[in-house]
This record gives sequence, C-alpha cells and structure tokens, in this order.
Amino acid sequence: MTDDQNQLQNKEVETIEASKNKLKPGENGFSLFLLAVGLFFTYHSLVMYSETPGASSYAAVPLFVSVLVVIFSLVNFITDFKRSIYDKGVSLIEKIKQASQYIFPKDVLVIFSFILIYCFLLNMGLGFYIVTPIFLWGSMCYLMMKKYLHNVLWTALSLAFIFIMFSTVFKVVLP
Amino acid sequence: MKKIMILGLIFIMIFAAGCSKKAEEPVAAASNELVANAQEKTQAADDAFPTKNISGIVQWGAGGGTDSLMRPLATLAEKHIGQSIVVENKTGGTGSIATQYVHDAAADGYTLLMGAENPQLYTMLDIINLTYKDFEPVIIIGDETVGITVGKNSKYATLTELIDAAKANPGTITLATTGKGGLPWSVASYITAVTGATFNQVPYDSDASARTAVISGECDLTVAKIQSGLESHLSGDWKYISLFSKNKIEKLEEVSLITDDYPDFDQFLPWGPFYGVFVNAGTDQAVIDKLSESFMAAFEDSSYQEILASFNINPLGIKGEEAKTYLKNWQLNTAEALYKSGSITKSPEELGLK
Amino acid sequence: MSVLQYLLVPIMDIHLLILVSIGVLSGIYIGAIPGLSGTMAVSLLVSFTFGWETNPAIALMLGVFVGVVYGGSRSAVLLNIPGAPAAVATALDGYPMALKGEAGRAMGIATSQSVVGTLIGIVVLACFAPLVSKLALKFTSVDYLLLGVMGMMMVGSIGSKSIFRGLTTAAIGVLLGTIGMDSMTAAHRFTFGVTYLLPGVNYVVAMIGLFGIAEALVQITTKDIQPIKQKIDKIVPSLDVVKKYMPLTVRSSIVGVLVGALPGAGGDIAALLTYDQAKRTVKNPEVPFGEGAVEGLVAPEAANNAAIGGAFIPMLTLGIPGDAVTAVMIGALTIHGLKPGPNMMTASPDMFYLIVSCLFIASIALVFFGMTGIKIFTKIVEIPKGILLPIIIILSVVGSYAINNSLFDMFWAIGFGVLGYFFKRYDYPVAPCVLGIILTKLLEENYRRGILLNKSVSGLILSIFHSPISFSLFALIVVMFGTQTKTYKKWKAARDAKADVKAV
Repeated sequence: MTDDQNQLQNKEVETIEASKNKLKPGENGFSLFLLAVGLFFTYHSLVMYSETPGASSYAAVPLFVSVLVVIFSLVNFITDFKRSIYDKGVSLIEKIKQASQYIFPKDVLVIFSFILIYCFLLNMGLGFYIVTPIFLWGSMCYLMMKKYLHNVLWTALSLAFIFIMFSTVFKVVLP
Repeated sequence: MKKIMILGLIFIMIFAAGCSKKAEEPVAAASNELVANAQEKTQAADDAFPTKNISGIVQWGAGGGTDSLMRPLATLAEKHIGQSIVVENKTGGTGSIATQYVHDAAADGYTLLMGAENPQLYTMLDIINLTYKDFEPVIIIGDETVGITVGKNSKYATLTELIDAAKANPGTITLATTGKGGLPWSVASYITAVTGATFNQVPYDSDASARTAVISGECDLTVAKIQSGLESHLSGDWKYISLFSKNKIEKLEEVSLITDDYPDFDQFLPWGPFYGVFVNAGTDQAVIDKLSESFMAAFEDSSYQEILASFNINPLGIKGEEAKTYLKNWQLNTAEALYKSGSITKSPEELGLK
Repeated sequence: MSVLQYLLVPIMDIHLLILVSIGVLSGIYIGAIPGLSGTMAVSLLVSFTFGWETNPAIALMLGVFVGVVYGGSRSAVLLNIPGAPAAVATALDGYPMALKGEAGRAMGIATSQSVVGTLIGIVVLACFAPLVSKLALKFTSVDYLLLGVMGMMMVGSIGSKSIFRGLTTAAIGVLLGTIGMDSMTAAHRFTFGVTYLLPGVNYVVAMIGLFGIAEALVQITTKDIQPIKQKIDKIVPSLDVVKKYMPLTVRSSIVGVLVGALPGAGGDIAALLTYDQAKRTVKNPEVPFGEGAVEGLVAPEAANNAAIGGAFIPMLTLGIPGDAVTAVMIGALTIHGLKPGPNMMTASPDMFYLIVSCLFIASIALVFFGMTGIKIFTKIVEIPKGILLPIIIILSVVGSYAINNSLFDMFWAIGFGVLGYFFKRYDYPVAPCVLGIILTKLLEENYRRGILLNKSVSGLILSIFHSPISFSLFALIVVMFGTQTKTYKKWKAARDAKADVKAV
C-alpha cells in the first residue's frame, strides 16, 4: 500500500471516529442523571452499612457497587465533557430543547402516553380484554396512519393468540 | 393478502400446539374462566360456593417440599369441590410475598394460601406484620421430623462430640443454613437455648444447596428434613447423627434421638416444619367448612396418603379449632426457644403470643 | 445388556414417542414467548399428569424441557426479547442477523447447534454422570464467585463507545439486583417499605423491559424504515457449515455440560461464559461480534442445550437439582413414588436410562420441529413495524404479568423499558445491565459465604490458592483480563503486522 493510500485510509477512519464520538443531545446530562442515581444509592447503602458494618454484611456489596456507579458515571461525564467542547456555541436552553426533541420524538411520546393510559385503565380494574384491544388498535392506527380495518384484524389475531397461550394453556388469570 | 394467509397459518399451528396440550379439563376451565371474568370479582359467599376457579398460592418454589405436597392435594380436592384449583407459586421473602398477597385479596374463599411453618415467625423476625393468626386454617396436612446431619468424612460421630467442639471453640463449627427464619436457623436456636453452643452460620438459598455444602465438606453440619436427607443418608453421602424427636423414626432406627443426649429438649418436642392450606380471616364460615370438607376428603384419599408416606410426612389432617390450637402452640414453643437463645429480641409476651 | 433394553423402552413404545414429540413442539412455542418459562410449564404438567403413569408423565415433561430451552432463542433472534436468561447471549448476535435479513439462517444454525449440544450433554450424562458429579461437588463458594466474575467479564466483550459505559450499566444492574429482602439475613434493602419489592427485581421482568420494550420504543423512531426482506433459501445449514462450526460447538457444549452439572449454576451462566469465550478465541469472524456473527449464536445455543444434560447429572446421582426445572422434576418423581437421589441409579436404573433415551428422542424431534417452523417465524420480522411494535409491547406486558400474576411486574417491565430506551438512545449498552441483575445472586451470595467461611477478605483471597479448581479459574480470569487491556492489543497488533510484512 502506498503512502498516499495509507493517508487516505487513515483520514477515513478519523472521520468515522469523529462522527462516532459526536455526542447525542442530552447525553452528557444523562450521565449526570446516572451519577445522581449512584449518589442516591450510595447514601442509602452507607446508612445500611453503618448499622451492620463488616465485609460480609448485607450492605457491603450495595455500598461497593453504588460507589462504582458514581465513579463510572463521573468518568463518563468527564470524558464526554472534553469531547463536547466543540459544541460550545450553543446555549443551555437550546441544548435542553435539542435533547428533549431527540429523546422524545413525537411518535415515542404518543405511544408512551398510550402505554401510561393503558396501565392506568388496567389499574382501575377495567379488564384486560377490554383495554388491550383499545391500545393495540389505537397504536397500530397511529403508527400506520389509517388502515383501520386492517388493524382490527391484527388486533383480533393477537388477542386470540394471547387468549389461547396464556389463559387456556397456562390458566393465567388476566386482570 | 399473502401476509394475512401466512399469519393465519401461524395462528393455526399455534392453535394446534395449544390443542395438543389441551385435555378436557382445561377446555372446561377456559369456559369457566370466561364466565368468571365476566362476573363480579368480590362475591358474597353463598350456598353455591364455589362458582368459579379457585387460586392456590404456594409460598415456595415449584418442585420444593411445600409445592410437591400441595399440587396433588389440590388435584384431588378439585374433584370434591367441583371447580378447578389453579396452583401457582409466588416465592420470595421466606414466603411473605405469598402471605401478603393472599391477605390483600378478597376474603371470599377463592384465594388460598398454601404454605409451610414460616409465617408463624414473621412478626418475630420483622419480616411482615402477618402470621397465621390473620388467616383461618382449612387443613393442616402434617408435619415432619428433622435431624442433624454431617458429611460422611466428618470427625463428629455423635451430637455430643459436635456440641462439645462448638462450645470449646465458638464460631469454628460451620452450620449451613437456609437463611434467617429457615429450618436450620430455628433448630440452631433451640440448640443454643438448651446447650449454649453456637455455630458459624453460613446461609444458602435452599435446603438442597445446604445439603450440597455439607456433602462436599464445605460446611460441618446442617439440619435436614427426613424427606430431603433420607436418600443421601442411605447411600452414605452424609449421615444423620441425631433426630429432633422424642420417638424413634421408622427408617432411621439406628440414629439416636436428641433427647437421648440432651433430655432438656423434651420440653420443646414435638417440633417440626408443618404444611397447611389457609384462607383469609373473615371468610364466611360456610365457605371455610366447604373448603375443609373437600380438602379433608382429598387428604384421606389413599393415593395422597401414599404420597405423604413417600415424603416421610407425619400426617395430621386437622382443621378448625384443633388446627388453631396446633398453630398457637407451635408458635409459642418456637418463640420461647428463640427468645431464650437470643435469636430474637422480643419476648413472647411482647409479641402477644401468651 | 439390560442397559440397552432400558434405553430402547421409549423408542419401542409409540405412546411415549408421541408424548415426547408433543412436548418438544409445545415447548418450543412456550419458550419462544417471553414470560412463559420452562419452570412454569413443567410445574403445570406436574399437576396435569398427577394421575398418569410415571413413564408418560416424565416423557412429556422432558420433551417440554428440551423444547423450551431451544425456544428461547426464537424470540431472541426475531424480536430481541430473550425468552429466558440463557437466550440473552443469543440475542446479542442473533437479532442483528435478523435485522440484516438473515433470521432464517440464524435460526437454522441455532437449531442444528442446539441439537448437537443436547446430544453431547446426553452422552456425558449417560457415560460420565458419577464422575462429573464428583467434580461438581468439589466446587466451593469461592469457585462459584470466580465463575460469576468470569461471567461479568463479558461486559468487556460487548462493544460500546467506551468500556466505562458498559461498566456503568453493569454496576447499575448489580445494584438493582440487590434490591429486596436479602435472602441471607432477611434484611430489607432499598425497599422503602414497599412490600411488593421484597422479592427483589425479577430478572425476567427486567429482561423483557430492557430488551423487548426498550427495543420496541427505540424502533418507533425508525418505524417507517421497511423491514428487510428475509432470505429464506439458506435455512437448513449444509453439512459443511455444521462441520465448520463444530469445534466451537463442541467446546461450548463441554463448558455447557460442566456448568449445567454444577448445582449452583445453570444454562444461563453457561451461555454467557461461552459467548465470551467464543468472542475471545474466534480469530477472524466474517462479521464482527455484536453485529451478527454466527459464532456468537453457535456458542451460547450449544452451551445452554448441553446444560440440559448437565442439569440431570446432580439430579440423578445426588438428588440435588442442577437447575429450576430439574428441581420441579425431582418433586414430580417423588410424587410418582420414585426416590431421586444417590440410590436411584442402583435402585431404579430403568428410570435413569428412560430419561437419557427420552432426551435423545427429544433431540431428534427438535431437529424436525425446529427446522420446519422457521420459514413462518421469519415472516414475523417482515410485519410492518407499525403493527409489530404494539404487539411486541403487549406481548411483553402480558409476559411480565404472567410470571407471577402481578400487575406490578407489568409496571416494572414498562419502567425498565423506559430505562432501556434511554440507555439505547445514548449508546449505553443494555446487556451488561441484564447481566448484572442475573449474576448478582451468584456473585454476592458466594462472596459473602466465602467471607463467612474464611473469616476475612484476605482469607477468602488466600483460599483461592488452596484449591486447584479455584486457582485455575483465577488464572483464567487473569488471562481474560490481560488480553483485554490496551497494552496487550497493541502488542498483538504489532505482532500481527510483523507477520504480515514477513508474509509479503
């Protein structure tokens, strides 16, 4: 391989690397979130550990692992922070907007709220065989944009399948 | 169009697979269930009890001692009670998950708790705030004898040797337990209460694992029910050196009784894990009677008695007041020993057991 | 000659043959549905077959067992939802293959290697059971701990932006695994007074959420991308293909049988260990691991099927279950009047050989039923996403409910789904989290037992050098760790470059 070809190849690899290194919006914030989670658990583990200290105590492993979470998320945060320096021009509010658009695109938000409504209705005691078809049909219609009749068929098929496998064969009492 | 056809094919194949496992009973159960799901969940107990499937919740894992006793009993009781009894396992928390679950369900007789002796210890160990006092017994199936076991290469041939060694060097003799509140832990407390000996307790997650630990030599001893330890004893993998009983045990005649070596245990015996079926307190008496009737009939069935014999269970088959007295005495007995040995910090009076 | 007679019993009896086959067929579908586990199925069968004769009951249960272990790979490959923990490793490379249109080929190879694995497990069971069980008994708590550590090293194998991301999710996984009532001391950890949390985080629920629901949510963002047409021409692997992967299969199966034979570990740990082992030892996979390498499918599938045979070894020689399903079968055998335990091989050898024989028939049935359903299954991936994704969500939700009949499990699965969604969107690998949850029990309990038995951490470490088994495991871990570090990689790259220059 000639020197020129080598150089070209290296440049290609570099650009691929660079794009891989580019952070997704909100990523750095997520590592902060994980850090917070780690700190939360570390605090509780410390409380438990102070009640029963010792290497074989039931608080030993939780303490060790939650500290690890803290350390690792810190490392993540710091290394990412260095990389994100070329994003400097963007304001914080703009970043938050970008992040929420990335992590919660409209479709995901809609389906997710469908799921929440589904859980809520189920918890209210509305019965599995009523709420599920609604969810299925509703989300299919939304995602597929119309095709209502088609989706009714799919919904029916899935419900029949679930009925047979779960209720009949396994006698699982669905809510 | 093609896709729908293909899906139809999948549907039929799965249906066929489901069908192959179907026998008459599940089909009947399915139609019953459909009816049941359409009905009100909380049903006032009426003479037509039961009108839908009954759920049997087992505290322990599938294949374990409790589960293996409950499944055949439920299958036999179904015939007498006229509805399916669907047995499921809800494990965790030394059986407290299942206990809480049944307690939270309606007191209509459609949710049964199928458990072992552990709930009687819950309040003592601060696990949850329930015991069998919060339930009504449908039937107490039986209890079993347990014994102290050591590995085949153990240098302790008798219990006295073991206890003397434990007292001479406290904390050196390792006892494989199944966690706080489990059988070995409880018996160890009895031993401490009577002899003053303590052990280095190493918890395992089931009696099978504890048995493996002793057979492999990792631990010095454990306490095992006859049902789990007999076969290994007969094959020589480990040996019973003392039985926690006042009376000789049929298949282990050569093993000495704990009262032979330490007569003071007499005040606590007989003692052993027990198994029973319970419903929520507050369930209608007529419903409880119907359940007891069916389960007693199942219990007396010769095929079930054979199963009890193969598991080396001492059959009891008691219900109602007799059962409640048994439960109360068991609990008081155990609490006294546990308190005396320092295994629990609250006295039986404080716990309201006296 | 009587051994041969016993082995031939089920083969001669058409009734038993049919039952085993029905078992395998049902087992495959049961295993393929997330949330329905083999343990559930077999325990239901115990009630169902209570009145039957012993032989038919056992035959049916064995068929279902074999089918379920294999079936878990189906949903892993097609939907990225492992049907059982053993299938987690299968999903890592199987699903990328499905995304590329090679689902059929993936499942075909999974089937053939599963069958080979099962057969190897059976051979070891039949010929070496007493020997292997003696070896298994020599494993102490420290050894299980080391095995767990080896399993965790798989985190390093899973590609991601930086190893610290994998480590973070793994640590979170282990942390989640500690929630609940501690089985050793009955202490409540991180439960904040909620009774529901006492049994802890159910790893199947976590799997369904982190893999299934999270993946579904992520795919909503790409829903308009048409699923790739599946190639259905190369489903049944040719003999050459099978031969090509045979060394890896045999290696993985042997690890599978041995790990399955350990009372404290089962097929899932075996699958994880062999996946990792495959990744480290396969020199130049056609496709890199994690993006659809066939070897990443072969190893775990062979291992978890070989573990079936392995799990029966302690069960039939000592009466100690090798895994959850064999625990149920011990109960079943006792109900039918048998006494599984050390005396069973001498007192009722017919049952031992019946089991061996039925497992063998089940493997044959697996070839047949495994290969025939694949074409139709691959069509599932071609269903337009708008329809498939809601179905996956509902299936995951029902599956997580079905495990313990608990609505809370369902909510947990959804919660995990959201967490997993965040993980995936931000390039944090999800698999180490599941790994952490699965391995916490093995790691923590054995670590604490080790401390209790050896009185201190230093005592624990010293005890490693006292036992040949512990020492070999420890040495392996050191080697595994060493080959991962950058210095080794640089050295290896330099060495390979020199070799290239020489070749030129």
